[in-house]
Amino acid sequence: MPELDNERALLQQIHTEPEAFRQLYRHYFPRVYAYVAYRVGRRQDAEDVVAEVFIKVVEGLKRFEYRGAGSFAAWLFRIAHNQVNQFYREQQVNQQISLDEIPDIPGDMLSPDQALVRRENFAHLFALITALPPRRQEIITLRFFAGLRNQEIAAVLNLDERTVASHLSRALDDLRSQYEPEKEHES
Amino acid sequence: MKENHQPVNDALIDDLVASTPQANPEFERQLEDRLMLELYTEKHERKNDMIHIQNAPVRPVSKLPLTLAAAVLALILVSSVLVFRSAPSSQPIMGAQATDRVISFQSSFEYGGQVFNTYSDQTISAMQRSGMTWMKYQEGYGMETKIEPLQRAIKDAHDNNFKILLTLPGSPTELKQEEYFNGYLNWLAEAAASGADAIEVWVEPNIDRSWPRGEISGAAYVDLLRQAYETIKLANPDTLVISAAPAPTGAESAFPGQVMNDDRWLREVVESGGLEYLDCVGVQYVEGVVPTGKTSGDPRDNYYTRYFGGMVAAYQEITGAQKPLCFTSLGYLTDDDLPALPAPFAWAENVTVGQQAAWLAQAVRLAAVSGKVQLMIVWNVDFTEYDAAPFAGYAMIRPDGSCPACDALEVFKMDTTLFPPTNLQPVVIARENLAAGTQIDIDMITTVYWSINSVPNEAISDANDFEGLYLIQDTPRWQPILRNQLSPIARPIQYQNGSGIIPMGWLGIIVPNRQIQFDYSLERGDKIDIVASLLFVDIDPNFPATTPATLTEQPRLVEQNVIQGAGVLRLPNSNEVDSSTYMITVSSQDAVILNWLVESQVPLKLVRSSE
Repeated sequence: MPELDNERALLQQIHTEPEAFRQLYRHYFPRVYAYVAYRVGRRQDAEDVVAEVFIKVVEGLKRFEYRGAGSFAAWLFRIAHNQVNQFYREQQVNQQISLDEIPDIPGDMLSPDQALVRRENFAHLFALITALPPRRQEIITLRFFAGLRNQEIAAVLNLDERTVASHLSRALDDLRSQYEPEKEHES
Repeated sequence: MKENHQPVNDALIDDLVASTPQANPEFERQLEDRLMLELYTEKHERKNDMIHIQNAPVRPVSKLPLTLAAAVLALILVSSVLVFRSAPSSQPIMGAQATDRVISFQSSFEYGGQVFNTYSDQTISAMQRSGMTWMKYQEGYGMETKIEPLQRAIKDAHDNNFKILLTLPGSPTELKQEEYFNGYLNWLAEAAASGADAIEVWVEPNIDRSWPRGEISGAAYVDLLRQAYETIKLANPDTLVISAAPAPTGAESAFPGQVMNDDRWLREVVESGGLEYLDCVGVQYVEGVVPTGKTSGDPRDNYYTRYFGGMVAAYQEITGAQKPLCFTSLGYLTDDDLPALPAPFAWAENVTVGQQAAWLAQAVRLAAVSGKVQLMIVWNVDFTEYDAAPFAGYAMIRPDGSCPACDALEVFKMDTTLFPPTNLQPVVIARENLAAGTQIDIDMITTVYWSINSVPNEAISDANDFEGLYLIQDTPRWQPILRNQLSPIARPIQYQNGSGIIPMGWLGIIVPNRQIQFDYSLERGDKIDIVASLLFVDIDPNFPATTPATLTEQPRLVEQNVIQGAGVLRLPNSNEVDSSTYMITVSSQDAVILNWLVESQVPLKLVRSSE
């Protein structure tokens, strides 16, 4: 995931400059949300977990140490990963989600039919991803929705980078073998 | 290590990317506000911080003049919200008197607690430690009731530097007796005259425990409230009048005639003109079992009364934000350190004392930053009764004398440094549904304070900026009025195809499709430059003439970027290539140029430009 150019400086200023926090938040929020949404499925659950993630981030900022490019993202998504796990520990989650529970999928120019197809694709992909082994679920969502590089995913999950690459490759193969995209209708 | 690059034509990858979820922007903004507050509050509490906010000068807000700037400063404390701009002398302001009263009262958001014992050292100490500035005391009226107990409570509160809210219900069975009712009104007047800082008129008038069965209605309550309001204000104009907080409930269908849902009841109060007879809308929230900031997750259901945020949102919507909210009872029930709760209250059996403390502190914080709540009273501080009515379960002071909630609230003592003024910005909004073509009158608008993160770019801060202008598109009630929705001239036309979004001071010029050489696949909303293809002929400067110097001279083709930063408002209909038109938005100066180009039938190219 592209790091903010001035991320290090922002992190140094964050305790005294609200604008520094605001910039970091606005940069990372969409990715955290996308990652969490694909992990928990329902919009309302995603909002609850994302809120908890950022509260944990705020609480932990004093203890965070910058250790080079990508270290903040790795730390942030480590928290997100933990919160998602916590969510699954605490909730009896029914993996069957209805379309009206799905998070919004952006697309300003989409016709209603196309938007519906996007939502169906999300539901379909969500079902396929949650059927993967847990580690591959993590890796694929961190890769595609959190936007992390393999190296950063390795840091989040305490894995070797090559292991991440291997899992990612196999996860994609598994998904491709089962994925049949919904056809978007021309409006 | 090489990244795992995927082939470009991979439907799976494309769909994964295309179906990336996006959060509701409102959720994103609200979370941001909340996190900023968390950070700021942490800083406030940190003793060795470089910027020691506790050392910042405390601004005595109540002494500030009520200019707009001062009003913004007054709202540092994120108190309430309704501030009407002063109007031209020739135009009366609807509700201005009431609003002035709101402003003068609301120099800050404040909180307090309901007490059983107004003079107990332990109670007073707990409240002071918690940063409370209000004491609430409740007494019911009977024909034999004397004023002295209320006067003692007022004195006890004032002696300890608390303001006092008196909640004063009467008897539902005697309410319709004239002698009783007059006695009740006299009692209210005596309480106000004795120095009550606020009076809540009755309690829970939407259930038959407090109101005559079969006669529950918002309109009936307004009849009482109106007389109470006039009586209280006559006795002491400084006494704040708070409408009775209805019991939050959705059970009216199960108990017809005995219960009226609080939202429907409040709607009737508003429709019956009740907002004219109150300074603050009473609210009650005593059924929470999830953290105060949550809006889901209650194991019973997701009915709005389960959540603090649900109550605030519902009551604000119903009252149209015309008056601030006063939580006259807000508490969390726990039996953590008590015998098991009686069955009707078993819903709270999993709440711990620690959660109670933390959630109360969250409630104060959220109420303070909501910009909608003026007063919050914790239910309760020191009650010890614990039987069918488990009041002690709500108490801040626990059976062993400890007060975890005091500890939680202590670090949150309100002062003027807690909420910086940069959090809020005045925004002018519509007070009613306004149709396109309406000329703005000061009565139609009001100014509220929004988080700066929520304010649209084109929002207007000063109502005087646009008085007399015309709306060019429909504006629903309580929506901000935006600069690009205003025009200095009335335009009684059908606003179609986006003409309602022409920026103020700009014009929409129709350009025939046949005149456009290329449009480079433009889309509506694109920002464009306009390149004109002009044919020039040289004219002898010594003998100017309208014809070329020599008839054989060929005109020179010159292409020039004549207009920059125009906008595409409407594209031609692809089915009518020749007769269809573009609508291009340009500044009034460029409109002259573009009109000339159109009239001269100069071929044009529309070129997409960078933002």
